[in-house]
Amino acid sequence: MVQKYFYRIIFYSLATLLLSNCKVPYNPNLKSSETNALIVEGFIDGAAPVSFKLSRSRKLTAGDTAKAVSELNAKVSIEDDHQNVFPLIELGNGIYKSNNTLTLNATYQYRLHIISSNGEEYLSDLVPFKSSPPIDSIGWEFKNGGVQTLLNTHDPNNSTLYYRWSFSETWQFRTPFESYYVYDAGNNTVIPRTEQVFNCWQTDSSTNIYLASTTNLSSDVINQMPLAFMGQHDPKLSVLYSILVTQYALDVTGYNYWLAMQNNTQNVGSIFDPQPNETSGNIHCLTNPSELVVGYVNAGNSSSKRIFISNSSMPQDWNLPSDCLSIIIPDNPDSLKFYFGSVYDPILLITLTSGATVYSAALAPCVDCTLKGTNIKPSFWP
Amino acid sequence: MVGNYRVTHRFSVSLNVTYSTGRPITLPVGVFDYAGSERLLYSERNEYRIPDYFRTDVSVNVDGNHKVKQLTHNSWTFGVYNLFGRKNAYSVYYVSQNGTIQGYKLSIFGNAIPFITYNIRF
Repeated sequence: MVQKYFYRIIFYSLATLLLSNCKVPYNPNLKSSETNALIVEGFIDGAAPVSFKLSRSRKLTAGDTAKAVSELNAKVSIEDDHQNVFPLIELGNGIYKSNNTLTLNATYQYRLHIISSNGEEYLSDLVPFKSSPPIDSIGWEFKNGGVQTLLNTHDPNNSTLYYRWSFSETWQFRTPFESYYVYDAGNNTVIPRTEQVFNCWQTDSSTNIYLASTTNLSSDVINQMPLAFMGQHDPKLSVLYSILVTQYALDVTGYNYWLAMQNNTQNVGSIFDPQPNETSGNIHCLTNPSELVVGYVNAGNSSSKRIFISNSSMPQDWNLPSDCLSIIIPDNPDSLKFYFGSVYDPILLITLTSGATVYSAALAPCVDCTLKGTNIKPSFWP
Repeated sequence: MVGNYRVTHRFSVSLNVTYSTGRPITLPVGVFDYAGSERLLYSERNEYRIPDYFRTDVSVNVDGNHKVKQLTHNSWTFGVYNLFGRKNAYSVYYVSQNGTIQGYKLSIFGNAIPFITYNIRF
């Protein structure tokens, strides 16, 4: 009997020994020139203020939960091939921006010049000024129960050929309850609201890379290019939704750069995907040529267009019922302090037939839309 | 590299050493924010190599009797695969977990594995 147990123990311990410890964390030694690459994002725009964002890449491992590392205190300027220099002003968080729209000459070539705070100097190649044709229209259609926005554009001169888009979405939303009262914690009383928290707006930028090329077509026409997609019942379309699309013209190397970045970061993870590779652009470090710089600088006039999509165009059942419930809270100091001092917000003051007053209340996210967005109406909103 | 040494007619020792440099690999060297998303920065194509592969197997072969007339010629083999228990990389891969990306090395036969074989020749 003892022997039987002995063999069993031997067997299991051997099995565990062999099967465990097969997977260990792997932290390769990387070249330092690659772990701290300068990341340059922006466009030399003749139609809007020029804005560049500088940051540093960070290591993958070592429990990296840190946010992006911004490149601060750099001197950033736009130069042309006729000795004109347009300095950009640092706004913080690695953003460098021109005060207003620069007057750029369409026949000149432009480049970006950066001197970082540690003295490293970076220069992009000179790029021609290539402007984008205007966006003809932005439409939308129902697709798989959701809403797909679509863009149309064309270049009558057949010379743009390579396009890139980015967009900014803004949408209005409402809380399930419209509150007329607010809790004053200092005096432990409920007072009428002066600022509405029922209607709010939220803004988000595109997170994908949108590219198209018309080199395989007989004419330079982009037809029904899919951009933002909203799934069925998306709260972005609960009231009114707006999308501002900006269109950029690229040159062929710029297009290939963006395509490589798209392939590297959006199209990986299945069997027949391309092998990821290094995406270096047209920016070089002059003081340390081996240093890796990520980013591609293009110049030209961008074009942009905004459309609105209203909830009235959606099916009746687009907005899902909320799971917010309202409760009744007696109007006495202890109850006010207990409920409104924690997670509840008052909605209405109700006078009962007995003459006593109570408040209806709901959880803060059901009442206060400023927890998710801003209650300041954007200037472009109708 | 394979070595065999026949100590006696019925007893032999063999040693098998395998060494190969690691396969080239394109490693993700960093992460950065671009065009609204976190993106991976890759090294130059095949710039790095996964760790070298090195394995040592030893075995001892014990033959049975050498009578010419018998149904089968039998022998026992005792040995150890991967004698030094080296954790050779079978593959290196990266997974995203809890919002961070961590590299892992997977090894098959990551420990020394003893084995006993009874060979029947006929």
